[in-house]
Amino acid sequence: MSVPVRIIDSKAGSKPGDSHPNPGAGWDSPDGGPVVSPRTRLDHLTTLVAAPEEGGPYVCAGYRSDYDRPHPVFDRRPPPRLGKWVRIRLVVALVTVTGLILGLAACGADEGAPATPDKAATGASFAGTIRIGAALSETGKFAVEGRDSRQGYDTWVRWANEEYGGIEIDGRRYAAEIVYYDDESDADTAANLVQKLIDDDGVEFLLGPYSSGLTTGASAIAEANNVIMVEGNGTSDTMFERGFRNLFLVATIASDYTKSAIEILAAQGARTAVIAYEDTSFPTAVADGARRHLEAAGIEVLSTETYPRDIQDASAIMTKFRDLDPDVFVGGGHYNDAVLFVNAAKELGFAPDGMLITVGPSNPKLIDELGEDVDGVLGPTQWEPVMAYEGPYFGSASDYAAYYESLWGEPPVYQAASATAAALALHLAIETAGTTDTDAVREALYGLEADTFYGPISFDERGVNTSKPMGTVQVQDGQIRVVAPDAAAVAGLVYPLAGASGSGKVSAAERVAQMLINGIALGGMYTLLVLGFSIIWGVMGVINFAHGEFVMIGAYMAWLANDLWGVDPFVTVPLVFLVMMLLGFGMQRLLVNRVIDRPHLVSLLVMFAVAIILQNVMKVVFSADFRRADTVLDGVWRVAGEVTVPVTRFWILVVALAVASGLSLFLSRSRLGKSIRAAAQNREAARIVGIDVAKAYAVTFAICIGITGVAGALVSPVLAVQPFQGPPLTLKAFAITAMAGLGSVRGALGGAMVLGLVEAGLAVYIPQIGTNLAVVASFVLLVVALVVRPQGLFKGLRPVDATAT
Amino acid sequence: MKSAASGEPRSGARLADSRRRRVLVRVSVGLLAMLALLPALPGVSNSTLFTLTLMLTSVAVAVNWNLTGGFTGYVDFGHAVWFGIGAYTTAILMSLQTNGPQVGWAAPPAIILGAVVAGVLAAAIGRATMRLKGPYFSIALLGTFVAVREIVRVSGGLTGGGVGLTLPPYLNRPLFYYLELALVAGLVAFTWWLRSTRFGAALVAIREDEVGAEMRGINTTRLKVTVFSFAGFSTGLFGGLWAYQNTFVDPDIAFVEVRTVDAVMGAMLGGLGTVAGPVVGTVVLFWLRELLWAHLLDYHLIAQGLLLIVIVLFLPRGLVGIVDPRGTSVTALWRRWTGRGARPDEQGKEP
Repeated sequence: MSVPVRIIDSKAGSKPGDSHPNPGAGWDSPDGGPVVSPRTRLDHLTTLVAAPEEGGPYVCAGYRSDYDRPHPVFDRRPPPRLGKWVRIRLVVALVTVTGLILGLAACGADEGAPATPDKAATGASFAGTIRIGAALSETGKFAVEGRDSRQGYDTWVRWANEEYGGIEIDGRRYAAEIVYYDDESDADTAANLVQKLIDDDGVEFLLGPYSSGLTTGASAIAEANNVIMVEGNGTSDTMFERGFRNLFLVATIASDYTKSAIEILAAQGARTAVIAYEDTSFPTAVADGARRHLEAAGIEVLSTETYPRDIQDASAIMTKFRDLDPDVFVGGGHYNDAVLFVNAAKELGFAPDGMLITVGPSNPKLIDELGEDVDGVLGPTQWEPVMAYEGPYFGSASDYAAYYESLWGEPPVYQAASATAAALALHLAIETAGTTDTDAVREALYGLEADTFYGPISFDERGVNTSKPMGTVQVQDGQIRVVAPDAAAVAGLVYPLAGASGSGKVSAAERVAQMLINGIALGGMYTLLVLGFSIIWGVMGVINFAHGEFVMIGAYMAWLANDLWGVDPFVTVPLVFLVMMLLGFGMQRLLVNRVIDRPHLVSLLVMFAVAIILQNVMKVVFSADFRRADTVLDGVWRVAGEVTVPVTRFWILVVALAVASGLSLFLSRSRLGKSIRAAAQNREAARIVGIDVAKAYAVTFAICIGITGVAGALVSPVLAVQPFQGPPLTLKAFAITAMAGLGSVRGALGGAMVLGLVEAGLAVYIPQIGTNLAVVASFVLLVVALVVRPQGLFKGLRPVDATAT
Repeated sequence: MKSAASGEPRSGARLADSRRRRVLVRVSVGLLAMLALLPALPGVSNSTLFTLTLMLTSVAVAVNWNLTGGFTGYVDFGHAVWFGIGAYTTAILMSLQTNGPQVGWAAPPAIILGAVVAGVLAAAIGRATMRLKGPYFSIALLGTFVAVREIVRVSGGLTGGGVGLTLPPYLNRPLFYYLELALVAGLVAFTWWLRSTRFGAALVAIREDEVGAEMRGINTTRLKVTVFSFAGFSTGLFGGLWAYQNTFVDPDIAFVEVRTVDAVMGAMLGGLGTVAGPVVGTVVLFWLRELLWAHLLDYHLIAQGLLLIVIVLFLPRGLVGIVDPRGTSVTALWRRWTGRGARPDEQGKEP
């Protein structure tokens, strides 16, 4: 057993000149003084035998290399002695952990005790309290919608207790109370909290969380516990195909989202349509419904495309659609996808007669972000304050809006109205039932027929409110106007849109040419994005896992300059380059220098941590909304027939080629560049001949981060600017670099072009799931390249050396 | 923390070692008994048990990850893929439909088959990718993770596509709690035992010097793939259990990068390549998140990133290293701060 251990001992220690801290730093080290002179292996061996290395700065040596260190755990020598202190420390640690757990269990019980049971009852003489529970997102990606939903629920609580005088059961008035928990926008957590609400807080009814994904899990828990959940913000059809008896939805179900919009479009003469949707629960339900409504309205669906969540760029889908020349584009996803669609359509000159986007157009934020580009876009809405609905509770839709605004200081969005309506439906059912018994209230809900500010409410056997039609809005001159249904419309539909342009028939040759142009344009972008990563890896051996985050920071700088002062991203480039160089220099001094000699896992994890920190800092500062910078270099050039060149991407390609050749010249011709290459090839030899390796590293890192920032600034009009845009870019950079050769400028260019062409080809030639496959393309290429040519396709600054044995 | 048993049997000083081991065994058994009695305590509700079950799941994934990532040094950045495969196989089998009525499998065979599928796929993928080393292996596995998620997403007929699958709801929190407690205890005990066998030593030999190990007659490929496959199997098992409790799977909740990140962080925090490390680390991380960081809103991931940097740079041996009998990583940290032992080219520059 001890054989491998002994092997390790003999090779333990640092490489020459390495900076390992004092190897005699063990607790029983005789003196622990600093070791100044470079050590030989023999020195090391003896010091190690004398004093086992303890607490070196090394995490597990994840990979075998000559520089590997003894592992702190596996290379243990037998303990010199086992003092009672060891046992005491162990016991203390264990007791602490156990105490923590037991304490938490107790806390869990305490938390269950209501902190504000009587708050609602103060001021009025209520016979008791009806306690309702809800898990809502206060943090995470649904934080905004979660807050709106909560304000909606609270609007009902305030109204029911203060205006209405309490829920009436058998002539006695009961106060309403809602217990909230933050589900962190996480489905697991939401389900867990619903269980907690039922067990610990003893709630009698539940209101839904925000989003279909969270409601799906939460409602399953409610169903299993036989507790009624009424909700207004989880509208996926699949939830209501499970045969649950305790789940009720006041809002229009997802498959009917596009119904009224498609009907008016058909009435205006639309004949063909294309659909693109994110293949998650809610968008799929919307798109399936849209397909059905389109066919029912006699509109032919020319093509359907899906794309994965977290897509950054919808241009491949839009290119394909442009060739089909449809009358109507239907896009389904979430708010951020609306930014992508409008952006890509503008960039590629795709201008259908009508654009229907399922989430986004009803949100004023979209107009702020995209300006006039979003004009004419249609979108469904559950509810708008201008709708002509009215009921005995809250009065009309506009009365409700006024009441809501008096409470919260802002007008209600439909998520808030849906939440209020859900709570109101439950309220009415409890009053009808005259009891809080679950079975009686369920019957009352099934029998409910009410006119409200939100529209008519009555549930079918699935628990879905089928009597309320979906509204449709259109962005007209920067205003959101309701155009359907007729009962609620305040403006006429604009159709076809101004500037709509059809395209002619696309030949096979034109399609190939277009695909090649798209691929090369994409390759140009990837070249710029990958250069910095490749050189850093090649020169310093550090895999910069935070690479994509530097792109993201550069993109935010360009976006900010664009948003605040209207500066074009192409103009910001020099400034971004300088600032990012400084940032890179600081990062190198502060962090990278410390991990440079250590096993790959260490630098990988440290940079990964930097990535997480940067993402979340940016999210706190700028929110997770997608942004876009505007450039004057936009639109398309029509080169031949239907073949077009996207202007922004063309100029990015030009910059990429200029940067690549400049970098290549710098590395091969200049003195500093040569010293960088020398440091990459053999650091010790370089140091011996008098090259300042530390300086070479600092310059390399600063320049590479500068280039990376510039790449970010330039793609800010093309890719969505958002805090989490980095990781996919890092992975692509990794794949291209490992495929093409570490630190090879030509390799970066070649690899980027190959990847760009493959992705463009997949997106154009694979129907429906092409975009999903393009996501995986880089990994497949990487694996193929590593198997076929493990040393990399191009000769880089250091060998790829990927195989273990 | 059930087995803060970091004791690796070693030649020499056997007496002290075995005494230490006895203490650790006693502490572990005591802790296990406490955890087993926990549901009987007043104030422990189903939701507490559910939270604890989720914690046990995280612990299991971290322990499994540590088998390859910690012992053999093959850092798997896509470990959550086995969890997702186990979860999906279970969900597919349990929600099988033939024209209407559900004729899905019962949970136990579905979960077990899910684990087997995960194990077999892990063997196949491990066979192909374990030729790669270092970051190449890590990224290949990350690629596998992304690719499998996309495959699941586009195979709508079988997997329900992006919409996902719903399982028949069944709730019995105490049952799941005990089941997972027993499984995790068994898994940790197994790891402990494994570490003391020739097999375990050979795994470590692979990490330290793969060529050397091969020259000594160790069939490294077979060993690596075996342990990788076992880790996949075990993670798949917990994936299946999770799917059953969650009653719903879709590609974005079954295949979550965070699950891998948590496993890596848990193992690193506790002590990479130790038996107790992943357990201690994951438990601490889990409660830190539950108790403190949930109140820090958006900042908790920033805090987590900072913690990761601190662990990697200053606490390389993890929490287990702190209670090590032969000096701690804290003493080393102190020396780093006082400047002694700074790197030669940086001497005098650090505080």
